[in-house]
Amino acid sequence: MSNRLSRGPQALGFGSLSLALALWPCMLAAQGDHSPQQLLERMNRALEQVEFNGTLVYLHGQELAALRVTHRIQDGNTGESMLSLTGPVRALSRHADGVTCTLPDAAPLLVHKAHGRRGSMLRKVPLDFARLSRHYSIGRLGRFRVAGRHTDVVNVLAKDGFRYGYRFYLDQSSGLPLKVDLLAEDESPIQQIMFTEIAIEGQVESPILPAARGAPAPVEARPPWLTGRLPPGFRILSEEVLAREDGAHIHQLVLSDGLASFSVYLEPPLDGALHGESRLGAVSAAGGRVGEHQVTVVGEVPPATARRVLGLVDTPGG
Amino acid sequence: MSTEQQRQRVSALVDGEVGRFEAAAAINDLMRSRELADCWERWHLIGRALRGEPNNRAARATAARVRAAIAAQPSGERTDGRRPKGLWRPLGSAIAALLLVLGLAVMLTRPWDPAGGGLPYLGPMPLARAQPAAERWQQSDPAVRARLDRLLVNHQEQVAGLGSPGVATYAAVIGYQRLP
Repeated sequence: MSNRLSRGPQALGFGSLSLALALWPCMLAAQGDHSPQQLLERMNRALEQVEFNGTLVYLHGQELAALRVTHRIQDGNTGESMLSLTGPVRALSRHADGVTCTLPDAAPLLVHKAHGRRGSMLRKVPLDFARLSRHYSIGRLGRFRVAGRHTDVVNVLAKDGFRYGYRFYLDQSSGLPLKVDLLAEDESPIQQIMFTEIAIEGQVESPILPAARGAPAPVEARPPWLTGRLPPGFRILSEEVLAREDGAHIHQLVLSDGLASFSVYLEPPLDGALHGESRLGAVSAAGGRVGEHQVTVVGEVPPATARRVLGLVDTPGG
Repeated sequence: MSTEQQRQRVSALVDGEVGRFEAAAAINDLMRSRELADCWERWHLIGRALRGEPNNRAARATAARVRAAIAAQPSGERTDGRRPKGLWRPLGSAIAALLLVLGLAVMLTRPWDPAGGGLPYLGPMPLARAQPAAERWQQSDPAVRARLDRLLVNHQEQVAGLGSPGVATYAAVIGYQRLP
């Protein structure tokens, strides 16, 4: 009897411990203590599953703009419309047919989606954390309030100067990024995007990492006109041939390290081509004549990366 | 052919008064109608002039049309030293459009001439004082800016969602604005 009585608390303690261990993942979930990888994966899924509309501010250098944003999901496809609230009216709509962008001083810019293109598959690519960890340091940075909502802050810091880092402020309820900072190598913000108010419909419940969903393998064969060593971590994700307005062919390579990405365009010479370097916010572009072709590199990467890739292009006569 | 409702919706978009649900519809209308797209350009031009914002970028669309008209001519027709008759019509239209644009800008901005009164100057910046460095892409040639916009949007359309948060990928395209 006494044994039974004396073992009671021990058994209770062991049982409690076992129960606690068994429920640990659930407790973590309830407290929102997910790993940064889980939070980032949840963010990706939230963008595919959650509808929202709100107002965000875009800050780059001394420039500040406000945008109205609506994100909708229809027939499994996501779409956005964005409308500038400051300065000249600019608007963008991404829909099932492609992207329409209206700027105040030009005819609407249309980019039609070519169904079945490999590039459109990139939307479904899960994050490859093993690969990302070679070029980024990923960690949690605590909590913060954005747009009156509680967020978990995740740092994704670049380990070299070939890419920018990111700081995501992820809504605890929905998983959506309510603030995104683009960071230089020294962690100083280059560009910030933040919702000031947002209405969210739906949420992503499970924090568990999903199984890999058949991510497209990188393109193994490199085109003969791209020579030399790519910036570390960047691989060719897709190779496309696009039709230019005048009927000429544009060869496009999309390269990514899993987060940062840029495109290399190779085409016959044309008026209005970029010669030199240029920037739009955190987007860098580098272009020039190589042999008998015009080459332009565009993407959200540091200028040095765009410049280096441009130097890797070699065409006949170049 | 655009309906009156479509025109009103695009007009509201230009004025920034369109509701969030109508914005997408207005943009889709713009995509499908060349007539509405032309309206978009004209109304913006007028609006910018009325608000006293720099308007020298109005040359962008016209320059593109002139370039397209010239490029559309078979090269053989230009080798005899005489301009083919067919070229004069689009070129003349483009020049006329440019003159109309400049005339409209001058006419609309004249009432705010600072020399006209003792009130603080709230009118348009003189064209000569426009800061080329503040243009999109820091490019003075509108054709280069338009080309880079297209290449960037095409790139973003392929990689949106690749670990980057949806709207953020397009924020630079729409968010960048040239300060007066």
